[in-house]
Amino acid sequence: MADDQIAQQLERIIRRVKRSMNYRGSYSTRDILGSLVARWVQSGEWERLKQLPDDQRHLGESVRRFILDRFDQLRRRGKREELDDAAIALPDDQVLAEMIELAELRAWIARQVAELAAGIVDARVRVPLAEPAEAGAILQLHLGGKTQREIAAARGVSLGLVNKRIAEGTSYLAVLQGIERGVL
Amino acid sequence: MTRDPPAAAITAAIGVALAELAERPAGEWPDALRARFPDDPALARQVLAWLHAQRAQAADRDALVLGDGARYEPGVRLDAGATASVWRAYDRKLRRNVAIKVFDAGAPAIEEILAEARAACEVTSEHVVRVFDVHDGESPYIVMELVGEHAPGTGALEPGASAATGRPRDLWEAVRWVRDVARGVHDAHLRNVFHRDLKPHNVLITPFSRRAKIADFGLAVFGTGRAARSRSADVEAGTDRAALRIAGTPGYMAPEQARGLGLALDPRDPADRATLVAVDVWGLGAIAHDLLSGHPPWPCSDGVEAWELAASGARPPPFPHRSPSGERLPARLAQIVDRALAARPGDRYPSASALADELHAVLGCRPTSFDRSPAARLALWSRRNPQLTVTAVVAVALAGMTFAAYAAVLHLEGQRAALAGEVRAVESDKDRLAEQARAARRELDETEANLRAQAAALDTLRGSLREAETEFHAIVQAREQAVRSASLATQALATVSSDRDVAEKTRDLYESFWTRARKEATDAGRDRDAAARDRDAARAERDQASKERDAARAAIGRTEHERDAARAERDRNAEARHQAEAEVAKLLGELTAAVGSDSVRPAALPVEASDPTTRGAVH
Repeated sequence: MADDQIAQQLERIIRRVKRSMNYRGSYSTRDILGSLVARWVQSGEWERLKQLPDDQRHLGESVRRFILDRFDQLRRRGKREELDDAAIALPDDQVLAEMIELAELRAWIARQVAELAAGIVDARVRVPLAEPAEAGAILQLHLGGKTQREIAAARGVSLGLVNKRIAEGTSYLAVLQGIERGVL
Repeated sequence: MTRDPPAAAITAAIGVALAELAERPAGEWPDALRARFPDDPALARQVLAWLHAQRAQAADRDALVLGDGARYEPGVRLDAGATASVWRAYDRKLRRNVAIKVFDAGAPAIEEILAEARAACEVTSEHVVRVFDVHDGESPYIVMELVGEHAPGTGALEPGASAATGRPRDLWEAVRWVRDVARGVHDAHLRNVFHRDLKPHNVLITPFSRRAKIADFGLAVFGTGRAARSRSADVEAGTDRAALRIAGTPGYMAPEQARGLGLALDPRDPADRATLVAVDVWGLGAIAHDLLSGHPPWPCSDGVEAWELAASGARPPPFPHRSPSGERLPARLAQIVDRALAARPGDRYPSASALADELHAVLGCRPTSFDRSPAARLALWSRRNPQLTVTAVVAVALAGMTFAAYAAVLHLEGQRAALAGEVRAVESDKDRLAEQARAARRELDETEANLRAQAAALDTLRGSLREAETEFHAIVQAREQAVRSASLATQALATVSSDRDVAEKTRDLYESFWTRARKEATDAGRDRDAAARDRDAARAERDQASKERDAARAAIGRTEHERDAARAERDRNAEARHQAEAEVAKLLGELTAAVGSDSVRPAALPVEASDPTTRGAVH
């Protein structure tokens, strides 16, 4: 694989990891749908569909049905006079596939960060991480929406160290994600 | 899975590579890494990925420097979100501190960023963060007012913090913040700007004066005379009024917001406007709920997300009775928050200013819409006017005391009149009773005379009784004395008996001592006589020995005399021998000289044998 191709793939992986690690305070419709897609992935349906051939998966149909069922449940709990015919516009199959991928990536990041916080480093990553447990703990706070200043105050360390640990942890996750995806 | 520590040399080489290559262009990295790790291409690729990731971390900060001719000098990062981060920066052109919201690459479209900036610019309010500029180039950002103040002591500019970070010091500060934010929201509503994402995180607090300002109009809906606009890709499909859009922060969403609002809400339409106002009023209630109770109205729970709780039509958890700092939350405050958080939009406050007025009334101890009873209004008036209240209470107390005193006087006058009638009746009775008393006195005198006679007899009897008593006491004392004496005698007798027993024992002891002493004296007399006899025998022996000694001494004297005679005889014999030896020697010399040859040799003379008597005398 050429250097520029590797670089492009790495950039894409890094961008996705970085974006997945940002705490989402404000939700858009897409974020709401993303949370439902994550629930759909957790339900085990995605693991079942993975076993099927591509032409029999009907991925979009399964996810849409799950989302619509959930919205229908919620709307039926409200008062009858508030119900109307309006509905959330659901994305197409391509966007849904991206949402599934993103949900899996976020779940994967949460697992890896938890392992880092426990001091466990994946042996395939050969670039040394200075303080894996500290980096994991700081990343957990970062994922929970704490600002760097709040993390520094909570852990009694400097703002610069928090920034450094987040950068190291993100780099570690990007390298590990590259290994998992066969780029590295 | 635990990794074995890499060899120190490889670790050091990786560290050096990361440090050196980080400063060089990314295009040089692949070749440089291949040169450094020629035998390990996998490691080279990992270090390459690491370098790319590190470079991506610094991209946001670099974007600030590169943008707009490096007008803004970046400082520290103040906050970071899903699509943007906020930095403190220095505007070199205008020489002031600002806050810059830098959007991530590929995050919102430029139209959305412009919409956010325009929505904020629409509002002119002291409770809304001002927007100065927007950069819609390759790296978009919004330049905003830096919510900060100069420290009183040092003059240094201190940035503020969000209400989510710098929590209120007490519940009244929380109420002030919500009131100020409500006024800012109302100012925005007057300009047809509806925030839709009100939460403590979007309320910035100045560090010293502790004033609240609204920030982040990223989800705002606003209308400027044309079609309403809101930031999101949903805008593009906003012509379909039947389509819904969910936007907001899950823990703080209004129920109808979580179920989805129409995409093309028009602030100029009364129905849509009421919907948008209700959403923001709910958001203000959510801020109040969070600041006063310590958590958002919709808490996260396992299995169900906060927005789902909001959309399900459930009621928020009951408002606590105490704030996180332990203060008791007034019931009227809870009523206001409950109304702002009403499930039905129509049950909420009709405007943000109505809510602000209610909170202002609470702060000023004035009646709210819930304080309708006169008693509640009077209680609030008294809290609002404590001096007047004290004065009124004192005046009422004085009036009451005066009335009570007057009533007491009237009551006493009535009592006095009644007593005068009673006095008159008593005086008539007194005369009658005086005559009766005189008669009684006479009878009394007679009775007294009789009593005196009886008293005299009684005195006599008493004298006899006293004498008898005296005698009785004397007898009793004598008897007691006798008893005491007998007791003492008994004790003395017991003592004497004891002494006698002791004396008898002592006597027996002495007698035994005496008997033994006499026996020992007899034995001693016999021993003395025997000793006298021994002494006499010894004396006789001594005398005999003295005689023998004297005889021996005489014998010794004689012997010494004989010895001295013998010694004199010996000395004479010795002299004679010496003379004889000298004559012999003289003869021998003469003989030797006369012969003069060896043939004539005299025979040796036996000198000692010639005088045996002398020899024996010498010894």
